[in-house]
Amino acid sequence: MHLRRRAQDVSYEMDCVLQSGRDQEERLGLLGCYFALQFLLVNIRAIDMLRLNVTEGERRISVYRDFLRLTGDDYSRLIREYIRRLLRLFLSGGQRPEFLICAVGTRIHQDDVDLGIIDDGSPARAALNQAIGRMATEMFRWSSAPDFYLSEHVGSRGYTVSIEEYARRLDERILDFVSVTEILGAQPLVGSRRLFERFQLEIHERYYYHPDRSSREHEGYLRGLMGEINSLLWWPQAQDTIAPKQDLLRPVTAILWAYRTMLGIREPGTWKALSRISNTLRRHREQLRRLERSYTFVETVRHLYQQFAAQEEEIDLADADTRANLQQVAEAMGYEDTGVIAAWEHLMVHYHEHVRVGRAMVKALMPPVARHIRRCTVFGPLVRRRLAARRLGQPARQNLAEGILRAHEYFSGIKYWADLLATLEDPEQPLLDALIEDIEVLDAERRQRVVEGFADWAAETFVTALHLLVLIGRRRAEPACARLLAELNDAFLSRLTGDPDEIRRFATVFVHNPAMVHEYLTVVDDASRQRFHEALSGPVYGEELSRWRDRLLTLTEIHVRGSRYFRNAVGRVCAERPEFLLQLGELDVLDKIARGQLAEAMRLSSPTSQKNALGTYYDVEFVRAGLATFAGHAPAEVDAAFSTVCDHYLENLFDICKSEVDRERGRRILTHDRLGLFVSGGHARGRAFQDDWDLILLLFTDTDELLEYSNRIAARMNREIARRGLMPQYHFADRFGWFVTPIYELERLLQPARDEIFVEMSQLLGGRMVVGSGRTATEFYERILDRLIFSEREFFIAAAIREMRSRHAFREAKGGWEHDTDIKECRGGLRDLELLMLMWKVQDRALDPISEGFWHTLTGRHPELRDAFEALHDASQFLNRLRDVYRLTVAPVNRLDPEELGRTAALMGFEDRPDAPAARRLAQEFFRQRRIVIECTERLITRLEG
Amino acid sequence: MSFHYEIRLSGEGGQGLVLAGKILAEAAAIYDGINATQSQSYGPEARGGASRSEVILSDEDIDFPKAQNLDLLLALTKESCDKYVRDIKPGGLLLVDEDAVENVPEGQFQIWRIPMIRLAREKLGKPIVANMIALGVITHAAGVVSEEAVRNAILARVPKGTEKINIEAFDLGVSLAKEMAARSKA
Repeated sequence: MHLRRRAQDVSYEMDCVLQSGRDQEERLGLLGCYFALQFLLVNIRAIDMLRLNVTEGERRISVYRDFLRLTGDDYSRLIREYIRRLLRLFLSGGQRPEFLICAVGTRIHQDDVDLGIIDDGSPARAALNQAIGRMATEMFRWSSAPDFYLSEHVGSRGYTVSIEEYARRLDERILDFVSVTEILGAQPLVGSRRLFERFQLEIHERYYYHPDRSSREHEGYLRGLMGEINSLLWWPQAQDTIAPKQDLLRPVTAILWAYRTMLGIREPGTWKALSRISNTLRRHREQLRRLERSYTFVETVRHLYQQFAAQEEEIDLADADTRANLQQVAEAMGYEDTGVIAAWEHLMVHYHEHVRVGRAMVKALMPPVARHIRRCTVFGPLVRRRLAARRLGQPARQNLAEGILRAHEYFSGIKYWADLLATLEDPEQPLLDALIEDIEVLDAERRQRVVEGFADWAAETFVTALHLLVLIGRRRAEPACARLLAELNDAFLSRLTGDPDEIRRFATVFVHNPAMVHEYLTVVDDASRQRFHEALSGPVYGEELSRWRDRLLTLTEIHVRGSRYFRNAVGRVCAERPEFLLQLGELDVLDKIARGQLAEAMRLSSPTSQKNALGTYYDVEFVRAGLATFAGHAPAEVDAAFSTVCDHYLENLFDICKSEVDRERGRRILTHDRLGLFVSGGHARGRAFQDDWDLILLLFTDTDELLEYSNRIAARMNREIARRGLMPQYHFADRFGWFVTPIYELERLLQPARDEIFVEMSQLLGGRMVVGSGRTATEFYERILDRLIFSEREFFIAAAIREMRSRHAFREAKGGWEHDTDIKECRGGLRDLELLMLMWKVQDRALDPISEGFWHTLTGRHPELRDAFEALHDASQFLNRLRDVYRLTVAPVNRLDPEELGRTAALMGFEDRPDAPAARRLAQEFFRQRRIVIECTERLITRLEG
Repeated sequence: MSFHYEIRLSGEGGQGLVLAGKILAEAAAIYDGINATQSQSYGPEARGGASRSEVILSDEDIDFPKAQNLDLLLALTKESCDKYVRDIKPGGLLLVDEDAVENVPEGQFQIWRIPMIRLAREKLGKPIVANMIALGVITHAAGVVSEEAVRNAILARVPKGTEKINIEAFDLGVSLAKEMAARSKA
């Protein structure tokens, strides 16, 4: 016997060691020491062999597999022999029950030893329990710590559980899938073979599929596994850490056990199981092959890291020591430093690739399991009977809602219900109608019980909760659905405590299906949104969770604080690219996404796809601008950025629609110097959050063909713009009957200058070219602005003053300025500011756009009026921000409702005070700013008139 | 079969006709996937007098933006009725506010007289929602845009807290239109 060599015969050597001890204590010490020594030698030898055998490429994986198998076999043998001898020492003499000790964990995992102990339940079990207790203490000192998960979760007292106790416990309710997996994976180490055979027959078989008998336990186990897989796959991989078990090993183990129980594969060991499944399901062979490779790789990384570094499940990549440890792992696995790339970095690249592939394969293997559950579920007969009765117009023998709840009692805690929800959602099977009908016929007490029952169920699985509420909410126009939605949602929300685990579960659902969370928030009422928001606002731990929670909170805040106008933009993004919702709150990321969408729009070949991508670009940017406004960014900054977006949108839309029309006509028509698209109104002034766009399509030639051609382009553009909730307005279309206005017609219209065309002059004066050439811009300036508007300076200014005064008089007659809350048209409102800028633009023959920056330009040109222009600039900023925030929080209307100003005020930084609520203070500020506008306007008009 | 439907909503500034037009067009374009254009008269608030909003609905491209042969004209004032009645095409529908428009001009079109402003005041307590009653009547009468789409568009446009009354007004309009249609058939 050579103590520094791996034993050829562990059993023999252990016996020799035991014989050399003089008493029990010394024997235990020597045995423990021998175990520890062999443990080291076994692992060192295995790693040495791994280092020797690793090669490049395909072969590597099989070397890893052999390494893991060898290590697992050696370790398993060592543990078995150690346990045998410990029991021999502790159980000598006296009565003992018939018993069996099983290994119930993964053979390769050495961080603990998962043991399951079965006995005959006789009174003699006390001695056995005492011996196991001593054995555990000894193992804890010299080897890996034993873990008795099964005993803790199935047994009542002690380490041992009898088969009868197992059976009783399993008849009561479903066992959690972790326990079941341990039960199914049990491999005898020491003890009665007969007991093991009974255990297999009476306990194992409950979880295998048998078409001829009830599948309740099998179904419950599969649901447990599917729920586990979903929760692991839905949560994105962490960025700064790796966690092999979470990342891949658990999902793989779970999916393989699902297949093992479905197909009746009873052989132990992951690789053997994979091979059997692969032989049985030939169409999934390639998926299983790739799964096996990824599993082997990740398991090897985990095992070696535990050997070299620490028994940690989460490996922090930001830590230098950890990286040094990973370097050792990488080198053992055959990786080398290459140039500036360290071996561990290579390893991590491959690790992430294997995790990605492995997870994808697990996902691909899930649908057959889901279909199997649908086929064998205990809910099937219940549903089929009810639907058949409904089809025949017969009364239900059993109330469906109560029946479902009763059947669910056994499955308490299970999280996978996608199959049942899919049936509820299936329009071919009116299950939801039947469910709602059956709830409607219940008396108040039974109805209450049903609602509470479903709410309890919902609280166990949030994805099911939200999905069910969404399904009911989609039909909230029906009174029965609206009532049920309100009751069920209220009961569900009242069960929330806002603890970090709950927040994590909600964040997981959000990451998995942001569209569903958005839809949930859409179908429920304001108060529910607020409660949901509060439930998410508690403390959370960990950067990863914090990041996703914050993004979910941003979505929720849009629903709580935002107007439908804003929420609809989010809805449009969600409809096209729901994954973008995951980036809410990250304005920079949204910016990148939007740019990507714009690039995508120009790259795609079909005009329809191009328009969709371009529309999404606009919508994402709209949401980004809205969030920036919510975050308190300066209106000028938001407006300027969003105006550029609108310009890009229009430019590109014009190009796409033009190409589309060209394609239909079979030839391309050049419009470069002959057509100009101008924006006017709010968009031209650089205002975000418009609900319509004033467009002017100017044709600089008089050919009928081009007129008709441009008109078709405009028609295409209009259709697209309207889909974004914007109404394109062509003011001159009213005059000329075409979307497109020939410039010569415009020249004719504008001569002579007269009150009747003042509005048209204003539109043109505020116009800004978005599509066109330098030549069209010059021609517009020379033929329209300079010759027909700037030259009519006196007329225009006088007409603008008349317009302003007549509007003031009209509105005054309707109720006085202090009752007028139309932010645009009221005295001292945005229209006055616009008219004033137009007057000064004409006065100075300025080419500057009529945006907030124009006040600065005027300040420079007229320093003697600096105070007035600066005051107007500030007032303009305030009024525009008020308008923007009101649009985003209340509605895209100009008339402000004082009762609805609360959220607007909060976002604008007004706080409630004892003497005045924030909304009232905002209203007061609104009037104060208008007074400033009125005073300055009067002063500036006087100056212009002079 | 393709369709092309032209609607003009007319009255005076402040009656919410532009908003009603936008809602109808949005309902068609966004929720029902029908092509729609909407245009409006400019600056009516400043001068009072006739205000109008036009909506054209079609399942084909709308090349011509101006409503010329109206399938439906809504007139909430006498002045607007007189001004636009000649644009209704034969077989079209003239919808007038019964109290505001007396002596409705006759023509080759149907006439529905409904006291929309009074009903808004008496049944809903807010004359300002007369535009939503009108929208309900128009939606049912035109039969081009679905009621559900219009309800969605209303909810998207009106301020929070006013959804209920606006939807009630719309539903009232739909039921009035149903009555009128039944009466016309009879």
